[in-house]
Amino acid sequence: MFNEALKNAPRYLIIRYNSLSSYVWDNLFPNDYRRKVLSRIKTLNERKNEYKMMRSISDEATLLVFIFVINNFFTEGSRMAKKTIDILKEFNVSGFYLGRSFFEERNENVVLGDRLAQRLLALLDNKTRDLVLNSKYIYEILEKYKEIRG
Amino acid sequence: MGYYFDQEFAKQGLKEFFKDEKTNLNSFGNKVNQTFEAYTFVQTVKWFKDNGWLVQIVNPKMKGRRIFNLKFSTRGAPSKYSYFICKKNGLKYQIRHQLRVSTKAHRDKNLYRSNICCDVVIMNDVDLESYSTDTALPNKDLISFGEVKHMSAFAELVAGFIGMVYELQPGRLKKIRNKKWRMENHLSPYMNVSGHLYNTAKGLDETIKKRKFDIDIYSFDNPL
Repeated sequence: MFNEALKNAPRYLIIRYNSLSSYVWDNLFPNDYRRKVLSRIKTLNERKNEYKMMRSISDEATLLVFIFVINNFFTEGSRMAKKTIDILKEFNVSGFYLGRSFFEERNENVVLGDRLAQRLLALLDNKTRDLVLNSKYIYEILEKYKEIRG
Repeated sequence: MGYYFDQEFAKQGLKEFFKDEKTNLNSFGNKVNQTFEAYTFVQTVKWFKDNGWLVQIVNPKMKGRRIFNLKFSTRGAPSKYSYFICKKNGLKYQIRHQLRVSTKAHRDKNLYRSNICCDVVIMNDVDLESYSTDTALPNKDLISFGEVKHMSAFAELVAGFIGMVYELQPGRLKKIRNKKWRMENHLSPYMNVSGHLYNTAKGLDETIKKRKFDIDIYSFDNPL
């Protein structure tokens, strides 16, 4: 189960995953779509299997959307930190403190988001990584799963 | 295996990723919003510099040394934090961040203080040395302001920003940007979101333009 993978995730990412999960399910298999598809199936067992398949497609799509969203979250964080430092340099300021962390040049604090994103994307094959990197909006990933759903 | 990719492999990898990077992920999550605030603040200053203003930094003195110090909380006296002074054609403004500003409707005789802590403030060059954490800048000294949101924008977020403009500078919410309108020497009140505008937000932004309000929404696709 995916819950197992999220066991050690920070709370803000678990919240993000849960809200994406509902969003993806409602988007790929809205109520009326489900009713229409399931009502055509005659036996209870077949209906159960079809529903299970819907859930499984939605779970995989959620996982990929989640990776897409947090990858952007990480890379954007680093991009903003770098831009802030580059602008501050124009005013002869070498960096800034955020709590006890000092952001300067391209130190670990500045590139942390990039490093996290790199490690995250290494979990995907080339084709899937390209889909994540070349998508701008969530719906572009969901389109792929709508093709799978049929 | 999966429908599009090997989800079992990804799940196992994510499990290890969250376990190994727990501390870093918490640290990153706690700081990323503030990083975007810092970015918007200095990007605003850069806008002034790029538009011909002479920009000078003012740092507070701490333990005998002048130190660049950003404010990431609504609490704290303004004198303890860095700000910028901008000069051009006889005009002199300050650019500060996380500063409390009185609303347009506030009156000193009121029972309660009516003010809003703005993420970025462009203001007249007035001395804030005596200000405490709760003192608000008089509304007459507010030139413009910026609201920062590290997220994608939806309609309600844009509507909230319009409400903020209504409280601070209601005069901006009139038919101002007509054919003769030229951008002022400074930025108009703006909201800067780090993400994209969802269609619902695009709808409100479109009506803002059609109503010719003097405010801007900046985003990933339309950067400050």
